[in-house]
Amino acid sequence: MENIIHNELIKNSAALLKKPLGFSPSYQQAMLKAHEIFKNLGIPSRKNEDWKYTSIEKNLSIRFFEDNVSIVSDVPKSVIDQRGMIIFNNGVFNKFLSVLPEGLELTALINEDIFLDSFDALNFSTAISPLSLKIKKNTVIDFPITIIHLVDDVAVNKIICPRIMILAEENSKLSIMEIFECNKPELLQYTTNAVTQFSLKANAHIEHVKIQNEARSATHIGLTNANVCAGAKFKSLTLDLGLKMARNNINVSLNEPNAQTSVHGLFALKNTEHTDVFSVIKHFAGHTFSDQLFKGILAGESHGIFTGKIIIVKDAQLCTSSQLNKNLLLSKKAHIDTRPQLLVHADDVKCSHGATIGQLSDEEAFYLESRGLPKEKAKQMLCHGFATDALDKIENDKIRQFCEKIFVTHFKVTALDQQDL
Amino acid sequence: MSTDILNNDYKYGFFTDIETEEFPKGLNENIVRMISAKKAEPEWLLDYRLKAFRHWQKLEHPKWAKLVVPDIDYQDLYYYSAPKKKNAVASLDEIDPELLATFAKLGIPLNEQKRISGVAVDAVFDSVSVATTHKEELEKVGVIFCSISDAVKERPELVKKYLGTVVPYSDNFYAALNAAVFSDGSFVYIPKGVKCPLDLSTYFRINAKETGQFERTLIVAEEGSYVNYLEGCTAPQRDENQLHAAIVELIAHDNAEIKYSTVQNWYAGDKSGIGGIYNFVTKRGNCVGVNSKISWTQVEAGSAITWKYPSCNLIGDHSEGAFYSVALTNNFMQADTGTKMVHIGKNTKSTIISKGISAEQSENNYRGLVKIMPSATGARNYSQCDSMLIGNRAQANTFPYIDVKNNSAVVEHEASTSKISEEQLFYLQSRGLSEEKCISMIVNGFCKDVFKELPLEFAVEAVKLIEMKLENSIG
Repeated sequence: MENIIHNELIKNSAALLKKPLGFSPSYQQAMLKAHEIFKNLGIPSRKNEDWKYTSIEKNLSIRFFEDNVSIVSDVPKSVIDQRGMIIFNNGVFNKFLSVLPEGLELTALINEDIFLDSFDALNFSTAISPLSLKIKKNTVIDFPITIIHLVDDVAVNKIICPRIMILAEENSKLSIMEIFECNKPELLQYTTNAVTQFSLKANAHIEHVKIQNEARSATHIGLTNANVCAGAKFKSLTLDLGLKMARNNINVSLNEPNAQTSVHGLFALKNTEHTDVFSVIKHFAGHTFSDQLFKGILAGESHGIFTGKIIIVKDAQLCTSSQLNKNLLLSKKAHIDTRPQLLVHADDVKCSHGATIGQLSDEEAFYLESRGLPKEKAKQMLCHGFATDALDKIENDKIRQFCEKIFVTHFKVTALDQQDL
Repeated sequence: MSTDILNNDYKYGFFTDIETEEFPKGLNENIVRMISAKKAEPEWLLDYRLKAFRHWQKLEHPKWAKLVVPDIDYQDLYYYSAPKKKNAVASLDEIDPELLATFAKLGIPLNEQKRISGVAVDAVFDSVSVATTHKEELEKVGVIFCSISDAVKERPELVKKYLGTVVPYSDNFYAALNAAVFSDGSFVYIPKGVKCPLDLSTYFRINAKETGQFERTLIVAEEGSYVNYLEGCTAPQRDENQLHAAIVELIAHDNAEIKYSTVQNWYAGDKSGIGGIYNFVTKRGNCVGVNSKISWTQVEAGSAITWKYPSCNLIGDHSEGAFYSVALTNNFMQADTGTKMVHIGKNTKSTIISKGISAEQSENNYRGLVKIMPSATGARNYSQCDSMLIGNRAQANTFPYIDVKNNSAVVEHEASTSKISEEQLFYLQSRGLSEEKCISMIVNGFCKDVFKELPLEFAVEAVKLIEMKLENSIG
């Protein structure tokens, strides 16, 4: 089965490569190389330890979205601040709607030849409008930039492949909210294979909040990859509101001393939704810091997976790293797998990780009920409290408020009715 | 601080020259039949061995552990070796004096006179049990403690009922190998309501050159019984790698409790990483009954490669499993060890405390699984895995897997990695202690949670062992 899908993807992406999409010859060469890499690597199966809990192949669409013309003309509602927005329709950059403040510059993506996995390579070889966003030296922008990936009817049963590289030059500072949305969340079926990369030069400070609010029966494969230089700080939060199948790869490399990262996340699942978070933080230099809080709320018959690898290489002394994974199981059939892993090759480090799995405390619910709240309301409050812990990590006020709002709305409508109250 | 620990020469590195009877090298159906015939085993056991052997042929060496295992040529090993026997052993006088001297060197109280220590020993010298002490006292209360070959002869119905029920031969590569060629081991049966009057103990010794040792231990605790079982291991110094693939099966019925403690100090290879024992062990306990308890305590201080995951299947409601482990690696040792706790019954509880210490170029991995099945309502788990690194070339990794399918479960996992703190070291040194003594004190404190689970005499031995391994530390 997996071979059939793999072969179809090879065939269809090869056809896409033949289409004139206006890339430079050298870039096209790089795309062909990426295509070969995807061909050789194949689609990871569950025999691959990193994909142990997720069989992705049967949930993939096999055709690519090939039209490079965008038609949407209204500014999507999710844009937080209209002074800065980058809009993708079905993986295609919409240059008419996108607005950028001074200090930020969009260019075509440069060639790449190293890929983290086969989906990264597939994305490179099939991304129709790959972009590079440069944040110029010393640029500090105090309002958030919104990157929207909007999917509509024309992408049904297709794979959309947005790819964006964000290059933060020295001393720049920016908050980015990247949101994946669909205009008909209850109806459409498609696959997103998205790659968002960051390169932070010395003392850059980037906050990235990714919200995954795709159609309920879509498949999402996402990669967030960051390289952090000396004194720079990369803050990331992934908010996953649940869909048929999601895989979020988060990869942060701390390459120079005093690089810092915090990789947080929250997922809220219901029905038979499936989310697989795979995060890898690599401390390649001494005096680097990482901090991680991942929370999961699972209702219905959903299945959540968290894998958190922290790797400290040889001689990367005096690193500090902490990781915490907390999960709340709301229903009898919800299922969580968690693998917090530490790989330490240096002796003078402080590393810790923790994982907990539990349910809402009866005492806490009783306390609220005794104050006159109905049972459902009490439980809902407790769940919100649980989630707020993670959302509070968002530094930018506007993004945090937006996340809280979207989480509360989403959680109220869908998840709570499936609890075993 | 760069603490470099030099390996202490292996204290138990001597070789007893006893004539051994060996089968030809290699493994085939014939060898399996020969082993079975040698032991005059019944038909069903031979069938079991052959089934296991045929299954083993289909298997491949497992690769998932984070270990570098050199290729082992299974056809280049001896699968059976026994000290030459003069019929059955009636009294200690008949035992080879050289053998007795070996045990004396190891400090095993084999002599009846030495039974003040209160430990009954079923000494396994290479593959055949030589003598068993305290048998009479145990017989009085109905406890069966004998070698598994004797058990097959005397209580075949019990062995047949339980053998392979916890670790089936199809479980893994080494389990299949063991099931095909197991030579000997211990069998313990505690009848209903009996609290075993003694702590039972087996000393294993790998002796004859190039002999893989395939021990098989089976412990059955009937309703309401209790037993404390100790296992300690030493092996002579040798350059060729030796294979050890043991199986331990525990079965606890209603309200029964089994405590299984191990101190493992096999030869770990020399300072450049040559030689040493390969220790591939499958240990598992089934808490079948209501309120049953199984606890594994281990101090792993030897072996070139350790691949060992003492596990508990918590089947009975309210049953409890525990795993306490100290794993120390130095030089080029590799350890991939941990546990599996599978919660099946209601209100089952498990505790995991694992302490890893890695020094020099060694690699120490914790790999554990906590699995809560949908049926395990009210299950509870607490895990704590701490690692300590000594020297900047060592590695410490933790790979916990937590798999929860029931929302009423409460699972907690904590882990940390650090080095010996400068402040603690300075504090102790300012009190006039040598650096070496300080390190050993801090390490002992680090391992305290596990040592306190060991029976007294074992705890003393374990503390000594760790101290010995940390001797000659350079601050």
